[in-house]
Amino acid sequence: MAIMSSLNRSISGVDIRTVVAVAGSVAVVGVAYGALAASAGLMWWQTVLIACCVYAASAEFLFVGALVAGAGPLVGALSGLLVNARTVIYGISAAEYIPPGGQALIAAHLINDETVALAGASGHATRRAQTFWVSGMSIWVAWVAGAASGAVLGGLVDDPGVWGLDAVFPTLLAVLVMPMMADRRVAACVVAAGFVAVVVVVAGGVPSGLGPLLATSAVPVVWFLARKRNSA
Amino acid sequence: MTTSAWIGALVLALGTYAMRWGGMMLGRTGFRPSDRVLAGLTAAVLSAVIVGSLSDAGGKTESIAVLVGVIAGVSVRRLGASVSLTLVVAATANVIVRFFLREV
Repeated sequence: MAIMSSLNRSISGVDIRTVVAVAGSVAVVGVAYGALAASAGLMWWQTVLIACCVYAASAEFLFVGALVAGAGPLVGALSGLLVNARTVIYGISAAEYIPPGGQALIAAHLINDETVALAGASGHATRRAQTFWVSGMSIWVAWVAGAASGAVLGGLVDDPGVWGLDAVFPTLLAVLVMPMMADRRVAACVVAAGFVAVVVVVAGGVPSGLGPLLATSAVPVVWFLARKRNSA
Repeated sequence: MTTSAWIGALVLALGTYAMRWGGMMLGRTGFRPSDRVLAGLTAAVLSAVIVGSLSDAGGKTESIAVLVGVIAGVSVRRLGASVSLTLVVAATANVIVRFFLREV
């Protein structure tokens, strides 16, 4: 009940059109995930259960992909965990606007790229919390509904890229990062982290998911250089 | 699903939750960095995820199409477009460039 009343209070302060646009694209990607899970031999309810409990698209794709490729579920799970390691940093960020208590137990499950980016671009702490709850719940419902549809309908959307949806996710993140770049140091972090990520991609051989963690090494370097420059 | 697949799914679900929860707990301790450093960390991770999305697109043609989509979307956003219109422009540009590059 506490969650519902907090959601009711929240909706008025959130850009609903943006949340709906994000949830819509997540739902379509969920259809592709459901179709992949069906091809891996998962029953529809198993796909939905995993979507509900994990709620992390890229990790779920890796896990189900490992089942399809016969690489072993534990290998898939560990790869997924590596990809999800970035959520530790998102959790630190979300602690700013999620108060401790029972709600935090549910809030922890809703932490992902989209919810933290949408909340981070929403101004003061109260507004961030509102955006976090509304987007987290909406995107969770969209993801689970998409996965269920894909599992039942099979190969309706084998490749979301055909509809241009593979550009939607990075564009959304770029748009949400833009306001944070008003601070010059944060902008320098974005550029430096992007550079590290490109080097990781070009170098190859680095497990998927380590790129974002390695990119955070750019942050202390940027802060150190900025401090040195200020003291000079 | 086999027993090992169930165990794998459980490990993934519990491990992911533990990392999210652990991050929140860290954020409430003295470990928590200043707001600006935290914004820098979050933006750095998002920046790397964007680069990762480009490389995960599936091939050179797809990566270029995604990059053009992102540039088109960000450009219209800077011109004042809404987020939903921005996403539509990005997806459309991606489809057009992908079609064009495959035809060429």
